[in-house]
Amino acid sequence: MSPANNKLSPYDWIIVGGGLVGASIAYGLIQKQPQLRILVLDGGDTDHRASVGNFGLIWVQGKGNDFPAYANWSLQGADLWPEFARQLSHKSQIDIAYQRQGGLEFALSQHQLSVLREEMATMSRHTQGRFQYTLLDRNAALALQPGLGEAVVGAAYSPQDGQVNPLYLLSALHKANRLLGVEYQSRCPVEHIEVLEHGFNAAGSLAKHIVLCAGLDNQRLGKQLAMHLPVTPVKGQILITERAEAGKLPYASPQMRQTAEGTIQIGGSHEHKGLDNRSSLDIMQTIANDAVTIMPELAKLHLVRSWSALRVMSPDGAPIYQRSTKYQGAFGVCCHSGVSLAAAHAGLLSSWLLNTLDRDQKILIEAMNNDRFAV
Amino acid sequence: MTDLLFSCLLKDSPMCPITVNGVEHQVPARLSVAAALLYLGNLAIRKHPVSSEARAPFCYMGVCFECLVIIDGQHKQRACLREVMPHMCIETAMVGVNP
Amino acid sequence: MSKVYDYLVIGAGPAGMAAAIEASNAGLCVLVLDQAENAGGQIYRNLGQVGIQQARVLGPDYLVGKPLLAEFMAANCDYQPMAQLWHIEAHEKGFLVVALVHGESITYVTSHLLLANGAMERPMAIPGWHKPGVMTAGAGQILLKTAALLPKQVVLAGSGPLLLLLAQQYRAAGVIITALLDTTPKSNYWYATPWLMAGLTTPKQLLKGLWLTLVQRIKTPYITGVSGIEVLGEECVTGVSYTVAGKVYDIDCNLIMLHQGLIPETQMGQLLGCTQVWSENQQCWQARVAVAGQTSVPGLQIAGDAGTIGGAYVAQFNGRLAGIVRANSGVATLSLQKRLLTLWLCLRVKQLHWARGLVDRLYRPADWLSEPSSDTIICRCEQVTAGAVTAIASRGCAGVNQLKAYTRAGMGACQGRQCGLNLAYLVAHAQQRPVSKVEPLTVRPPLSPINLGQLSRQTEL
Repeated sequence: MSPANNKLSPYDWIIVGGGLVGASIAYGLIQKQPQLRILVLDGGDTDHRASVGNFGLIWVQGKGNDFPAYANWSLQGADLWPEFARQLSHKSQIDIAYQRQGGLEFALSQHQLSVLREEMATMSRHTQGRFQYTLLDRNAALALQPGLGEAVVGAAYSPQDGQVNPLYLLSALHKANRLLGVEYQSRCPVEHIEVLEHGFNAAGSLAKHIVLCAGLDNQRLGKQLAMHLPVTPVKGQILITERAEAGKLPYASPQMRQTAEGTIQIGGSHEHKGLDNRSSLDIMQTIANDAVTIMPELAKLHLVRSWSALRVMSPDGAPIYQRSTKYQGAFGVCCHSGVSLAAAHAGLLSSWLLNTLDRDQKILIEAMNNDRFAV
Repeated sequence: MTDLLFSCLLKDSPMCPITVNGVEHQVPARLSVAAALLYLGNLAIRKHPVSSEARAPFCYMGVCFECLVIIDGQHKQRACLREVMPHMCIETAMVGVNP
Repeated sequence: MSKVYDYLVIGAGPAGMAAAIEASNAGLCVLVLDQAENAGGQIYRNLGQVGIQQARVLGPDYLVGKPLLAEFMAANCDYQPMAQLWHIEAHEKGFLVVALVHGESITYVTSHLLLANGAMERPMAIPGWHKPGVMTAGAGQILLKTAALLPKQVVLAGSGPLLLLLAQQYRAAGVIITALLDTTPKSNYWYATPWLMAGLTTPKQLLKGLWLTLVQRIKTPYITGVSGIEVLGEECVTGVSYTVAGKVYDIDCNLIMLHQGLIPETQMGQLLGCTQVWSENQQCWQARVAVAGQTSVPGLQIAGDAGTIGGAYVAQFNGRLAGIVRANSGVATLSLQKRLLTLWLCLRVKQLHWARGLVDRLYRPADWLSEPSSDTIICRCEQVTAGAVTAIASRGCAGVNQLKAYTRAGMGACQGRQCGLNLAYLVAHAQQRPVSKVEPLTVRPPLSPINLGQLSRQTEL
């Protein structure tokens, strides 16, 4: 994106937040209406950034078990990904290492396997059978993923799951946005949003429309625009190993995945620790232990990095897409699936913001507004 | 192997037998593994995992991580922080696996 | 249930040894963890084992550490050498310190923690510095101390006291110094004059320094005002080129040793969330440290070069002070004698740090070194060039951490130790803001290598 200029003439859109959500939306808007003047305001270097702590899965399994709209939205998002990835790589000339070879979720007990069975069936029901999956016993799982530990009793497989390098994705979105003419201002924290007669003033820049994509800060900023955006931090820790031989893990999994560079990413803890995003020994040990239990030969791989980031979580875990009823032109977008939903945000959600979406799609997105949290 | 860039002042110190990439050598006792490799004329001791270029120890004090070798089967050992022991088995990664 | 130490000291150099001596003498239960096989730190590396011939070459400033080393070995404290620390975190009882010892990951618990893990050499990123045949001057000195290994012929390049000392030691041992390429900008001499007053408070050191400089200038092929150093050679070093007064020169060589001063190793303090400040004088980040080592994190002290670069003497005083203050939870409860000692140590530490200002200003790195040419490798681990970094930074990324996400610079095994500072300079230049405003790389475990098997089999002491 190009450095912002001319703060005084109003923009068409200000996006508050330059993470995956904000960058995807800006990318969608500028592609649909190239004449738009769009400004992305981004925060400081050490702000909490869920986008750089993402695991990199484009995941469908188990999303929206209790929420049919979210299940359909996730599946649609995953289906939009191949074309989105192709276009983005072409525009940015960055290989984002997208693959859709399917995903495995491993079960370490018969109970876990039966929970997976139920989840998959529910998900399939919610999507009228469009969600495809197979439940694998131990031998079937071994056929797809050799080297599984004794404790693995089976797995759930869906061909619709995929993976990407989330850092390259973010980098590619920023680069494509810059080339398409989106303006970008980093180190620009937004403390206060002023409501003007025909628009908004955020950090000294004016715009007719504003979209809050500020992650955990959406709760605070939402209030200023009369939107209830209840999000809380859920900490996730990740371990990353040295490069292993290619093809060690052919399928993506929330428990472990091999990146295009060859490193193996292990993780996925869920902790409620407020804004504390430090790595902790007990969790790192648990993650390592789980990984070695699933794949004993990983034990000899060295850890090269650990990471921990804060997920932006709504009360039911599903996204919130909100239009301010009080201030026309103000929107809030909250979600913790910035990678999985990147294609949906760039495609359908930006059309929703521009009010060019057909009725069915509009109903689907608006089913995910904050009315569901009404007290 | 390169020409011996370094020579050792210790002429009469006790020697220690070690194995480097399967070949037995005698080196002065108490040397660090990195120093022992240099003493034997090995300047470059690994291929860089990204560029495959030859790399050599740089800092000899544990901060550059350029001297990683396999010692007695243990991978990713900083050669500059370990002293040679009799019959220690050292594998460098100029060929084959990365330590 | 694991044992809880009163004081865990990381590093067995002058600061760590002195602190451990004071704290254990006062009756505290002390543990010293050190990554090396022998105590002494980098400055007194191998001092207990060194031969007569090496001692002659290394000189009196090295041997002066002997009494301290003896006192430490006799002290009533636990000492674990070869402990590769890979993680520290705050804990309800104080701190968890996790280290790999003989292939096993062990967690130590302590109520108070002292980081005395010393310094490292400022990374001197010049074209070709990653090639075999390039090492640091510190490496040259360590090879001399620990292995009595001497090059036959060498080019020394950079700036700072260690480079001159190494030249002196090498000459004494008969090494051929093909050239000493001094990168100290001539303007530094002018800027350093106001600091002469400070330097004069340690007249002996000042004279020694002057003498060392003069002797090298006379006895080695000493070339001043050097810039634009480039390492030549495809696979290995075959030569070096440099510029003096606009003219480019080449020399043949197989070995080049680089140095441009020391910077504190700050990773451990950063991991614990210790407030970092940019030191304009020493051109690096440092933990905010009070005179007896207290930091912004309660229970955590930092002493010696791990806090502020000051050298072995001040590190030792600083360590003693830290140990006494820890043992007595402040000065109020001390005997008169200890109180006087504490006061004297405080004054000495402050004076020596002030006197150091002369060296810091005189040998401040030349500007050209912080603006490497675009093909220079900045991140040695992930092979990222200065050009790639500048390209991203000039598009307005937020700082080095966002840059790391985009370029992988800083993601490798050294955990950003070799690239962090230079990334910050590049971002500062590209975005035309002071480097002090660029926040340092976030530090995460592991600080040293550990495999998943070792991590999953964590044991408590």
